[in-house]
Amino acid sequence: MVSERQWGATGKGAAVRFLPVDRLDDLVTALRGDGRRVVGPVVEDGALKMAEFEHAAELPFGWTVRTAPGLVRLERRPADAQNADRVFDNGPAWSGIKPWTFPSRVDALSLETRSDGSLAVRVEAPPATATAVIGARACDLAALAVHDRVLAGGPAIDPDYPSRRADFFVVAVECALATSTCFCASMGTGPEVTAGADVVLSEIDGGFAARGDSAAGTRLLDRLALEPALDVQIARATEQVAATRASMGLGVDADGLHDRLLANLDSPRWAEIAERCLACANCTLVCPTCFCTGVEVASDLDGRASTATRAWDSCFTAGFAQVVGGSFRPQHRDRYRQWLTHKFGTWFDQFGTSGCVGCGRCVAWCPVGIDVREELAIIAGPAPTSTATAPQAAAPVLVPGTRILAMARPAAHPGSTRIDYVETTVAAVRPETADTTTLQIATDDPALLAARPGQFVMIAMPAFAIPPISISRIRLDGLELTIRAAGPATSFLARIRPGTKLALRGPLGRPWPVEDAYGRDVAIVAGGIGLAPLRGMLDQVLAERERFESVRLYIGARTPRDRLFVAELDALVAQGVDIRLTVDRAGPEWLGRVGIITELFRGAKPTGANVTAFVCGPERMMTAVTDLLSDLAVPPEHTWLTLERRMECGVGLCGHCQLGTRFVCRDGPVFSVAELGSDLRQESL
Amino acid sequence: MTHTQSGQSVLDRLSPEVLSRLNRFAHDHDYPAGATIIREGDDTHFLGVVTTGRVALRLRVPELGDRFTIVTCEPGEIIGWSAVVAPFRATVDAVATEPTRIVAFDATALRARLVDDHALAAELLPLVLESVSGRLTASWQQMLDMFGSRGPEPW
Repeated sequence: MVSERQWGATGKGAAVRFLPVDRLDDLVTALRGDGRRVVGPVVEDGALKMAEFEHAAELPFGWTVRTAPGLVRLERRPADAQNADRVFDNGPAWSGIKPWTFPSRVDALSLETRSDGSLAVRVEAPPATATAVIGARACDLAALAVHDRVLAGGPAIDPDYPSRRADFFVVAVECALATSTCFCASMGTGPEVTAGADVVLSEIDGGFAARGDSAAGTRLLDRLALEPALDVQIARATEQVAATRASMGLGVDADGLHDRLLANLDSPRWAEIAERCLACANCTLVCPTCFCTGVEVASDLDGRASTATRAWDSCFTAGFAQVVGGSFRPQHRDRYRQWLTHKFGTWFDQFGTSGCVGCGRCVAWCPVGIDVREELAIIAGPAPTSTATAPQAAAPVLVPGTRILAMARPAAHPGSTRIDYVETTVAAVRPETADTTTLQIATDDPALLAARPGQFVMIAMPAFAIPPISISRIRLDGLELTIRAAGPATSFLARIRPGTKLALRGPLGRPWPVEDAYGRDVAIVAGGIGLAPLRGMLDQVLAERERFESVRLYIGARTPRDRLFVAELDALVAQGVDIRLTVDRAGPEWLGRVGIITELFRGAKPTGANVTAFVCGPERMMTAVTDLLSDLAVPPEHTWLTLERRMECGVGLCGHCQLGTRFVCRDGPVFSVAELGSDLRQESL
Repeated sequence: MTHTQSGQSVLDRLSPEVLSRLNRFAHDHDYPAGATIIREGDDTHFLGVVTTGRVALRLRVPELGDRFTIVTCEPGEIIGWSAVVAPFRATVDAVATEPTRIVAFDATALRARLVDDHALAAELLPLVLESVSGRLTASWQQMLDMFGSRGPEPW
């Protein structure tokens, strides 16, 4: 008789069968017979890795694992030990299943300059390979659900991930062993498998209790013609996972953790951790939810063809937050704080869930044994109402029966999430200063022509990295991009010849909210190259001049020779536009103003609640300007600025440009001072 | 005494009583464009307020092409703060870059007056300090050379 009794936290109404251990290979064979590659835990280099295998005998029968902070030891279970021959009593495999849904390297874009000068641009499509994974744990499935949300839940959809997830069959295993570094119970993600699996196994004497958690899973079990599980076997499975939960040690007090953690951005503990942290990035590499990537470009020798590869990156690396001249997170302290506060804090703001699933891999694989459970307790302190001393089942992260979860999304914004490139032509090149050039780009692409001031594009060209460049003017026949030569790609662009083809992706990001200034006084404050993103907005303001009250432009430049758009601005001054300019230093030939940009306010103050200010320049300048505007009673919700961060994807998927709860590329780069709040001044955020 | 064309002058922030006492040793000075008003290293002969025009404060750096303008004094702003701060020696050259009028308070008389007239000192010196403080923080910003090339870009 097929038992109707179910084990597990939820059950699916499916019958529980018994899969004898010697028929595990039948399961593998059936999955392979369906055309799937089959992936499971295999012993490799002294640890368990989720790898492709052919026969069940390759699975880690008889192996167990011992973990501690900074320690992972795979050990043979003594032949006379209880459950000596078990296959899955060895904790989660170190690699998890992430490499199979989100490989560490995928070709993303190939570019080639053809003999006629045109550009061949190809966005690489991922291979559609049907995959089955055996031995996924509850934490792995929780991580998969997190990735479903991050990479496929919008607004931008990763171009690679969904197709790898589309035919992905999961045979999960409920853990009968909690390692000392496991803490899924406290994160509400396990050890019970409640969602995301097609088949769930519980390893018991002589085999497995098996249940289908999806129609496909049930069909597979039907095909295997298994005997129903005995009540005692189902009871054993139930008791076993309960025992695993009960045996789980130190956990994370997840109650209110988001707020407690973010209230302690200035904790001295960050610096103490940094003395131990090697910034080796191990934790991010083994983390099943870390999703940050970078773009690496490899070129042929003559620079005519190149491939851009999307590769896992880590917020612990020195270059992760690197922009011109420096990193936004120069110290280990800053990077550890970024990782921990994102994982346990701002992830909720961005994706509606925790970024941690409690698998403990980061604890075990940290070479110096930093334990997030301990660090969170010290930094965030206890929850005010916490009474939990033993792991309790928290609200589940997973919604049973769902694959791609409908979790909270970022606030609606008008930014585009375009991932395809358009071939454009450099129609004209105009040097602005010794190191800055304006490119006139010809295109008839409707999306590019519909760009709005403040947005940016990614520029792909063979052999160079793909820089984000703000749009400095929107024309009827294309765009203008003003570029300062600082690195290889921008130096190439600054010397480019008319007629050259460039691949553009965009427009991206949130534009200046020009309409916020309708009926109001407008103050445009630009420092250095920061005038470029504001130029298009000035165009719009002057084109709709009657919609605004007073309009004033305040410009700071390094020296007289570093002034941008000189002839154009002189013409506007001649037309009566109120433009005030200062330079930071000058030779005796300069008869204009010298001093910092805020001194310009002395002569004509942008004062009062009716002012809308648009500010762009180095962040230090912008904070000085916004301070002064605040003193002059300009409302923070009407003070707009645009932030610079490292951007590699432009659509909020690569993680580089994170600032607190935001991805600057996707949620900005234009923000109001009110939106940014204290994050604008938080050191090394 | 002439007031500034735009913005609030330092003079506007003094009480009428203090202003009238200052006026006793105030003189308007007019300078043509290019005139050197104060020379670096000389005794500073007056504390002044620019009323019209523009004054460039310059440092002489021969190796870098002689004189650099590090800041300009605009109408309403103090010039010659070193007249009331020991050792009363000018720290920069001050050159009119356009026809400029300055209302100047004789340094010796002012210093003597400040010793006796505490009400005047209490009003005037905070304004001088504010000016010096503003120049100091502006110098920090300029020292950062924020608009300059900040090093190699990742792309």
